[in-house]
Amino acid sequence: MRIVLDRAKCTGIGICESLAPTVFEVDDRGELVVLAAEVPEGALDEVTEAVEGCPAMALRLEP
Amino acid sequence: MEPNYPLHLPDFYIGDPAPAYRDLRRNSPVHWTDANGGFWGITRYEDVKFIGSRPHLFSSAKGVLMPDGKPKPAEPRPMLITTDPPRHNALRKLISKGFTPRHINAMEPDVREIVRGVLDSAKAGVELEYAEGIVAKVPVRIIADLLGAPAEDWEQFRAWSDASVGSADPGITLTSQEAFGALTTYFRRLIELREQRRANDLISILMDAEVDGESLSHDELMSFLHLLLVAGNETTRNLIALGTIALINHPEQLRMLVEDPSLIPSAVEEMLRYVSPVTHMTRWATEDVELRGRTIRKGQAVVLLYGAANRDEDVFGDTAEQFDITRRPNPHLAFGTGEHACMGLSLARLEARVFFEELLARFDRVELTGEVLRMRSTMVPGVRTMHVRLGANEKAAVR
Repeated sequence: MRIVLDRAKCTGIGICESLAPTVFEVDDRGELVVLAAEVPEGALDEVTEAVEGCPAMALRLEP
Repeated sequence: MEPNYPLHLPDFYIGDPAPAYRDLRRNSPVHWTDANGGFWGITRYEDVKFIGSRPHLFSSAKGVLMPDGKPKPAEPRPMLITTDPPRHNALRKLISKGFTPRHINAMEPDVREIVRGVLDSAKAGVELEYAEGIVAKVPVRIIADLLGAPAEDWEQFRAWSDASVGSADPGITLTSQEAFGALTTYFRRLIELREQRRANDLISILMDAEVDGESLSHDELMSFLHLLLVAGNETTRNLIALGTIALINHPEQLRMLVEDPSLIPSAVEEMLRYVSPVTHMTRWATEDVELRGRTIRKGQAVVLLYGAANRDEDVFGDTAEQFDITRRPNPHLAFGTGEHACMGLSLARLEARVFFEELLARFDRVELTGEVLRMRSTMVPGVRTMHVRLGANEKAAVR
């Protein structure tokens, strides 16, 4: 599964980072960095939670 | 028959709105209220999410408080909370970078020290005032510290912050305009100090910030500061105070939490859902929109009732009305939804978690010894005062 970020919608609040810190990180400029283009082995649950938990709906998963 | 509830009055929110919310979700999920010029009340989870995530159809630019029947200024002050995209996103990132999980986690030792300092004044076995006397001190100190206000000003800050949102409360003597003015003067002084020398605080960050190559205007800077103080203060206080009342009313849950403090983060989520400290935010339709067979007309106000959405059976199932600190998943909307979702949510979670960790390590029993006095507000109808008696946690004391 591929992790897709819509940068125009992202507000850099970092909920994704709190749910899946190995995959998402908000940098010092407030920009979200997706650390893995694909969902890492064994991280699907937390990444799914992060995608669904994004209040700005800036994240989605694609096959 | 169309249900009829006084959704425009503080008393509705101070009482128990849950039965009314249940009725509205079922029988009138897109519900018109005539009072104060009229507004739509939205009670279903799915609909609140739908509206909150469509800023082009439902704008925040005309204000986020429900209509109060008073005339609006022709040109409201520019505030982050009332800014639409694309400018909203750019402005928001300026502040949100100070609120990312990493920055907030780094604050945990400071937060714990502040909480411990406040709880040191709480004695077991005697009646004490909990909301004003203990809980309220925590968020105001943290947010004022974050803004760069010196410690000796923190209590004054709290009085102004209370007055500027709780103006409907007869217990507060300062009018909201007076409080707003006092805060503005105070912030101006802080800015002047930072003009001479920058510090490691939010005011300095904002003064150096640029959007599209331009610094923030003086008004923008001011309104940021007002928003942060007010948003960071009342809300967390009410989460903790009303969350404590939920524990008092569910002694078996309190017992469980005392025995297993690792449940505290999940208990905080459940408090957020069950209490929904911010009752609503408002949006304004930018064109006619059909929703569940009703027509929301262009220009009409749409009030997103988070407390109602957070007890939606379609999402939280048969136990939606119950307080369950082990609930998971718990996708509540207490922080709102969409691009205006609460920026301080990581800080709020941290404060509440640390507060309950420290509280329950010292005291394993909490009982109410008198009446709970609420703030008369439609948006943040929190606890003004509540008297409690705390029982010492003997097990933890020998630790």
